[in-house]
Amino acid sequence: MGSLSDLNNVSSHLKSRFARGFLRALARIHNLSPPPASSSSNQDFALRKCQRVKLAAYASMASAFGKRRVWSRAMLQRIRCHSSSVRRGKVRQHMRTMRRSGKKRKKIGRELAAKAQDVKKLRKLVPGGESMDLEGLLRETAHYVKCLVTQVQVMRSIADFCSCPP
Amino acid sequence: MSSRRSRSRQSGGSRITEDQITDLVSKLQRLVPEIRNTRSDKVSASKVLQETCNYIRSLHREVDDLSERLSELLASPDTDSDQAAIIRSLLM
Repeated sequence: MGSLSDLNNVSSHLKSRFARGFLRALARIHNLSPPPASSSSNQDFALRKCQRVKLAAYASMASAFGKRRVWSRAMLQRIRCHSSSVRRGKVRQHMRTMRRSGKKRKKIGRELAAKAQDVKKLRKLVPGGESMDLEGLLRETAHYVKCLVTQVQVMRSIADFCSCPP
Repeated sequence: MSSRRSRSRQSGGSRITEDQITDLVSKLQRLVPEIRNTRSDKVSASKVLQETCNYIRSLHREVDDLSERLSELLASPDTDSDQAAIIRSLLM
């Protein structure tokens, strides 16, 4: 249970850091006024609002770590690229994929070579995963998962709070 | 805890041992609810990676759903910046 209580300690500090940035972003998004009426642009606006909230959530989480983690660095780069397409009104997801590094993949052993497929899938899910060695990937994944869990907890708390006005 | 140096191949960089990898894999296992409570010798590294991928995908989906929910709540006139201030103070 030691590791779980560690998780809680890290988590509460991270929660407030994330929440502060995210709430500020939500307030900004809330103040965005909708464009003049036409049903298709309203739908578009609603969709873009949803995208903005999502980007704000990932951006706030990644900003808590900035360049210190590979995944947060990669995430912030990705978001910078994506948010400019959102602003231009493109709803289509435009995620830049990281270029593979020229370095040869380390072969650790027979047991791990058998898991190449699983590692490949993981690389695609973790931001910056394509260019890391296996050890780095496993470390970054652990951190990324912890942060995602925190992000989801805070988002859910905020949504629950706003759903039942006092 | 002494780590046995098992046979490992070097590739112009740091040496990584099988034990270190196994260690990292069990750390991941403890994070994923599906397999958290299973004994680590009963769960293969492959399974841990698969379940981690599934878990990350489900977390991404949750973020999507919550973003949608939040953007709808933002649209409603009931939500205002006072609530945001309250939340902020609660979370400090």
